[in-house]
Amino acid sequence: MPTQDEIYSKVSATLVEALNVDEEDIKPTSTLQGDLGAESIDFLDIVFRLEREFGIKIPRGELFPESIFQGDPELVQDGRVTPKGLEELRAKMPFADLTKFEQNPEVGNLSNLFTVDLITRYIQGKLENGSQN
Amino acid sequence: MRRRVVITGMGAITPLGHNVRETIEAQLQGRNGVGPIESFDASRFPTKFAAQVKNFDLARFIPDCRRWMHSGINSQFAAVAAQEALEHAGLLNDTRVDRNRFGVYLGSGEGIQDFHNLLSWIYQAYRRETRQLDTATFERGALSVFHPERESEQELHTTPAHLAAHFDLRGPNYNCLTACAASSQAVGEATELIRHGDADLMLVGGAHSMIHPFGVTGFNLLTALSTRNDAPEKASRPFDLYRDGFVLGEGAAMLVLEELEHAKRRGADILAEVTGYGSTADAFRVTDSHPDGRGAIACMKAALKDSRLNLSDIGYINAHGTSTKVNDSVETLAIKKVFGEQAYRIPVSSTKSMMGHLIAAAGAIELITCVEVLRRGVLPPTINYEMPDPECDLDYIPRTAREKRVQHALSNSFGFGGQNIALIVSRFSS
Amino acid sequence: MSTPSRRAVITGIGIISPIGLDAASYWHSLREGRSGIRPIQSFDASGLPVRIAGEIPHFNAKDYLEKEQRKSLRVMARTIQLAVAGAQRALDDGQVDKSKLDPTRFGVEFGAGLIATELNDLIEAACVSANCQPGRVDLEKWGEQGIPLIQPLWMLKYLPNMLACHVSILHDARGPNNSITESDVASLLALGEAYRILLRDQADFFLVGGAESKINPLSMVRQCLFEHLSRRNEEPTKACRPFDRWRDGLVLGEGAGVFVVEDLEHARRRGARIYAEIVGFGAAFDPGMRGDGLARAIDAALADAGIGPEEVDHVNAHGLSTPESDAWEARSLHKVFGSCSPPVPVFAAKSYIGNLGAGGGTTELAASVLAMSNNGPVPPTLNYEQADPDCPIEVLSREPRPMTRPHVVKVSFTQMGQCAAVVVRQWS
Repeated sequence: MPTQDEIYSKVSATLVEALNVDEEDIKPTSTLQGDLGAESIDFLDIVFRLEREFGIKIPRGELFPESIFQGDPELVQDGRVTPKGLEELRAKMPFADLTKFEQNPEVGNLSNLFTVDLITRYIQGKLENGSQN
Repeated sequence: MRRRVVITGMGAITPLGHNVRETIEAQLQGRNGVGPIESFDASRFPTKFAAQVKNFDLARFIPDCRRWMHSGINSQFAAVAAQEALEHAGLLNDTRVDRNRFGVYLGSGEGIQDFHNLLSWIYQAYRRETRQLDTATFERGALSVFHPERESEQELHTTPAHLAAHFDLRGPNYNCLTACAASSQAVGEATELIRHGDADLMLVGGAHSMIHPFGVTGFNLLTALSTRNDAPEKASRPFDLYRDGFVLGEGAAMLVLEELEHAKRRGADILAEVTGYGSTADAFRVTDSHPDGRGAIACMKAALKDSRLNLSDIGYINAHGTSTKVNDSVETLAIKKVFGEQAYRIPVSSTKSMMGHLIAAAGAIELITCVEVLRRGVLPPTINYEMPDPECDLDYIPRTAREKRVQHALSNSFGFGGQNIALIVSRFSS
Repeated sequence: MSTPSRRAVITGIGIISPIGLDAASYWHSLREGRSGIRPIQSFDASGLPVRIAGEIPHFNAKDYLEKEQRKSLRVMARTIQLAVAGAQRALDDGQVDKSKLDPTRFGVEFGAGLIATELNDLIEAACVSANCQPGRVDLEKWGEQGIPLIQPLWMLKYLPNMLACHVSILHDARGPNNSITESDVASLLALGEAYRILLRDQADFFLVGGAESKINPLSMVRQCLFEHLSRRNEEPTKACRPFDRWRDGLVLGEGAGVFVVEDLEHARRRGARIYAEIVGFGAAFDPGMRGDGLARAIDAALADAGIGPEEVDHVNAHGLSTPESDAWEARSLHKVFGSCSPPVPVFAAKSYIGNLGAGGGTTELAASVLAMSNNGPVPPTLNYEQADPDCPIEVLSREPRPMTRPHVVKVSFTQMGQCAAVVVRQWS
């Protein structure tokens, strides 16, 4: 099992390649869209590269869910994620740290969840599960 | 006073029928053209279904079809739709019109690559020991197995050239390939050619099939296609909350555009007038539409300005409505930005719910749909529209056709890459 | 509807060619009579009957993009990279301050062709699915194991509208945007369309041109199968010889030719240097290079320009260098210009760079536009050594020749019969 640091440095090398950013631009808290300029096709590319880099399979929508709430009014109201929506989010992205998002759960802030750190924790979880099997 | 452009003939071959009448009647019945892919074994592809043209055999339509012997199915579809459109316009063998003033402008797709031979020779030329492709081996192999005419027929200019040669259309000849906006753009620019005086008649439209291994592979990789394999007939569901991607369609649609006085002089049956054309680019991202719909808004506004109509004149919108998450919500937003409160009073439907997405040919068949709306006074539905999406709150004519007399209809087409086209057709009145 | 007061002028030239990576070096090579046809270097062409081309030796697309834009290169096949580079050079040459342009009045039109997949993209997928029987792929294996091995953005690299798409994104061009995919006549049709859009007041500023590279194994195989290519592998610089009696086929080249074309008032307001004015356009179809299609396209363009053939300094020819094509072109030119005295001579830029396909028309026209703005001389056509009785025209050869009349006619056509002509007037 690689350490968290090893995973992190491989993730950031992947992002350097995929997004053509400099290594020093990448911090654990960097958001993919806001800080690193990723657009939707980049998420496909990042997933493809991570799969190869770590030898894992990332099912569609697992790391980057495309439409978490499907516009369901029980989950989102007036542009804010409801408590039920937050539960859904936790279930879909158990690897995400929602503490900050919960303080201001606006749908527009969702993209800030997708950070370098989130990817690292996702991969770590994947590798741990894989080694248990 | 600018030259006016009218439509005097239409032809189509689609997943819903082998001609315009069959296609439109199926649309008005809310019929579905989607089913398992039959032209190749897609059983292990992420998407295993599409909207295909059924029981196609070129020779049944065009007895002497040798010209298309090595053509891809795209060019063959084009031939069928063109013949119907010209016959409808009374121009198939008309020797009175000046063929030098009769051009072709298509938004037509590429032919179909020799998938099996290409990959077989990539495989055979790959050297595991060096992990490199032995290019010379590939070259020799591919030269020995590729079929020269079939390779030539994949080129993008062959489809309009065959139509021009076969039907004797010696005016300006174009093909544009702006992804899903292509045939709408062809109609718009051909309208401008007639307005300017470069031609009196233009055969316009599109033909495309991407229902082949490379096509489905490419769109699957981009996760653009619906993967609702357990219920293909429910897969194309524009504006519905549970839409998950578009469904590939195939086919061709052609129209004859004609300068008004020319049409009058020869006593042609005038089906409708092309009154508005708008063309813009998002200039935003390769596949994402601009979140505010700025390019879509600008092209609809440009078309309205070109038509000199008021917002309240538009009685029906045939949406691009692909059934992807982003397109349908952004298009809805754009319609609302352009039409304001009136947006809620204009019926909007996506016939892609029934025909799938004909890619380059989509705009032309959807324009024909609009012309038939003007002529019949019946609006085609959006089928599979079941669960409203809060982001898509217009009147989408759910599930069943609706009677309404319409004077002016608008058709939207937006391409991968950000090309946006809006066209307006109007009932003809002198 | 044209607004009569509007005029379309060329104010920037971007060239990426086998003989120069900007307009100045392209012009310099033309003046030096330097051919860009050489043995193919970028891949092993030894399995092909044709091993020469107008290949660009040192092209690095990164040189043309800002750092934050370079991410896009991974979704650009070489053809698209050439287009993007050409567009950048056109803006540089036109000294365009993009911040002063109205994005909604900024259009893009490109001629483009079919773009072949890079073979390397498909190796892994081929290896898991194509090993069962010769000439067959196991589609079940392809679907299940092959597809996940292909880069997800694979298809985007090869869509022909991506030339104009990327150019529009890089430069925030939100006006009309089209991709004409009409083989060798594509970029001239694009130029004609942009010209008309400017005149009808739907844009003020255009990047318009074409780009193509077929110098890769798959495209070359395909071209060898259905195009009439020169086999003069041993003497590459002699291979492309338009209208010469001993021509034996076309030579493929690669590159981009992009113009800044704008409304005259717009150009004046921004103080642009004006190279030339576009004054006429015409197009036609000729079934199978037998009839008068090319002559009709030229006649239409001359009529659009409001001039007669005797006001034309020279014709910038298609000059493909195949026996049939050149003969038909020469006869067509003779039909239009045959009665002019002194005769209207013909220049063929392909003799330097080969056939750039969808990028050819504008790249070739740039040679005449540069000649005009440098007050001539028009460069000679290379390799025109012996006149062909089947080509009843006067070919500019051996010596550069000063321009004596103010117009140039550029023609392009396809082997299936699509023809176009553009008339350009010297600016004074």
